[in-house]
Amino acid sequence: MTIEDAVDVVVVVVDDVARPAEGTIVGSARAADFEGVSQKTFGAGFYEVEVDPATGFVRVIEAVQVHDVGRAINPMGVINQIHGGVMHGINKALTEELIYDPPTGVVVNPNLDEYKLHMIDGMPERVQVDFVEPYDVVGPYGAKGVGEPALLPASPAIHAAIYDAVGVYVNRQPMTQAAVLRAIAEL
Amino acid sequence: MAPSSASRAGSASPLLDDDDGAATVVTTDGSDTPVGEGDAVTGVIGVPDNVPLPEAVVTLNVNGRDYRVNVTANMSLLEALRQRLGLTGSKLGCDRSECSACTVIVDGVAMNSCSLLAIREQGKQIVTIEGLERDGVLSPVQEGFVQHMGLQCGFCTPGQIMQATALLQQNPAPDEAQVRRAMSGNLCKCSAYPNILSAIRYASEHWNA
Amino acid sequence: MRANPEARPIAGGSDLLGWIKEDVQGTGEPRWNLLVDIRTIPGSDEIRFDEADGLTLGPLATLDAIEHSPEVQDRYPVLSRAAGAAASPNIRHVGTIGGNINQRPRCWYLRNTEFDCYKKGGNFCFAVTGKNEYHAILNGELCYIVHPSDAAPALMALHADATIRTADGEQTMPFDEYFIGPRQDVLRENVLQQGDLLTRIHMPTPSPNAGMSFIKAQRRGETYDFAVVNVATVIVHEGDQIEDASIVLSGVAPTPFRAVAAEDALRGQTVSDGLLQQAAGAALLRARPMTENAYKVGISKNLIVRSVREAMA
Repeated sequence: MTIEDAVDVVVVVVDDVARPAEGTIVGSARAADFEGVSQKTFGAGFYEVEVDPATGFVRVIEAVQVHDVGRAINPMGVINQIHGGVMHGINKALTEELIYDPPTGVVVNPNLDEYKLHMIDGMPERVQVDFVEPYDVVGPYGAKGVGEPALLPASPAIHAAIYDAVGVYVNRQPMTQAAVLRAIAEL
Repeated sequence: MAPSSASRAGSASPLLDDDDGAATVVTTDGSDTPVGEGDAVTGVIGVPDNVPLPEAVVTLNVNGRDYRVNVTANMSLLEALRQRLGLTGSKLGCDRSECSACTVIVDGVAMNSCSLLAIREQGKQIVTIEGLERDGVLSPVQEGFVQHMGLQCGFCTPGQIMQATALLQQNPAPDEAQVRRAMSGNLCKCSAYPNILSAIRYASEHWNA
Repeated sequence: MRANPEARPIAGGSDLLGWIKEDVQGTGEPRWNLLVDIRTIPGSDEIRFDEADGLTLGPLATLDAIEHSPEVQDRYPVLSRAAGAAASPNIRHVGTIGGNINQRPRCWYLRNTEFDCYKKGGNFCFAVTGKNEYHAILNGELCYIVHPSDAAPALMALHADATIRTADGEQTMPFDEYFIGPRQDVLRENVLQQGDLLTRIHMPTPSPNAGMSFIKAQRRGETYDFAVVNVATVIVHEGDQIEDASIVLSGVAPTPFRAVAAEDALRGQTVSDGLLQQAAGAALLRARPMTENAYKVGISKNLIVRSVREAMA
């Protein structure tokens, strides 16, 4: 499933979030089509990362994300959902993976020790989220969903940000240290 | 757990309404018979169902009161709190010290109650999430989590609040790096972390108010 | 305890209770049915520093106490940082240094009841044919676990001694001899036999010219993560001139790995980029990575270079 299939997301990655000028566009925005279902939802994410070329460790230092949520019924909850989406996206991009033993198919990391999720110290130093509220003609009270869309921008943006930092695309998710170092080695 | 444990937990609630504040010695079902006597404990990980476990009656000081509790030798403090005392605020997450949803304060220090044996915690002052509110007034940390919505599903919240409380008891004005480090063992899968930081900042500002 | 193979001493219990809950067992690994509380032994959690004698640690001193001890922070920063890098805050509050050193490996095949591996008395290492991204690159034989401790490399870098109590009485040995590889006994990671206890940890006062560094490469943030590679380094130096070097890595081999070749290459030399690269290369010369963990070789080399630089800064 590509990003475009799931939701239309414009991801712009720039080296300095404060001046979004040049960047790489992954995916594209399309006009919504009405087929009796909710309108498509839009969002954009901006991520800045630090890559340690010695260890392959990637740290997200800043995340900015904006979403079209229809009408925000509980604005605080919407912000909370987007915060969650940012961290879920970072987890998905960098650490979160169910690992199977190839010969037996047994999951070898069925615990929170080996199945890595970021905790509060893995949160970017700066997280800014916001939303816009165009009324949705289909959704209840004009609302759209924001739970899932919010976690999509992080992965492609971090992917491209790593390229911007070290000059390689890591063709694997999660982009673990091993994957980053392998990609650098194949440069 | 065995259904009997669940009903025991329910029967424990009347004693929590006892608000005289003095230390009271009680058994968890209000009678003189210690709870669990003769009950087969089943479903404990690592122990076959047919092996009887050694049991003991221990005195646990929880939230300023002494409780006499009948525990099995392998019972964690968390299990004792939840199943024997009905204090279900502390949550069972991973049961392996990996998520800290079960955090309680033992003698002023935050610890994972899932990885402490109840039988070894006699004579210590244990504070759980139920012990923070005073006369209907929420503690500053609880208030902060409400004001700043430091949660989504709320499952990790008791652990987060206890961890933050332990931090602020030692250092009422931590900087952000100290907060991040102190809270770094508490997993929030919903990742409400930015709001948790705000909540702790709020609590820090209102700590002595 | 000595007579009962199902008995284990329990201190903090963080690792031990998890091990029991995971129900790890096999022909070589009995199910533990009796726990003996050793926290009641008086003085077992002492942290005592004496300028002449050095630092003495009771094995039941918690990681948190060691991390925040002023003497340790001042004179043994590598140990303070190693203790503070282990696990999560709540585990450091109860977890002891003895427990950190003696904890069982985190290998996901060992800790999974589906796999009867060498360490449980079986006759196969599933990491060889399976997922081995986090397994050993050095000294792996039969079993390819990595040593999980953060404190152990720091203690070895500080040339600490372990005092153990066995059936024959007390015995003191350097930590270099304390850890044993799978070839010697695949069921254990250290010299302790059933019923033996680690009773004291002692290390000399470091030279006033010693610089120290502890670096841990891990998979997320700074918390609750076992090291992919960690390096504890103590360098005695006069300016750029290295008098003595002590470099110990963990996360790369079944025991904490002393980089003897790197220490030899650095001793008596003037530090330079070329020398550091050469020393790091020499340390990893005998690395035999598995199918998925070759990246650890690069990390180890880079961290050795970085930690020597940091120790001399």
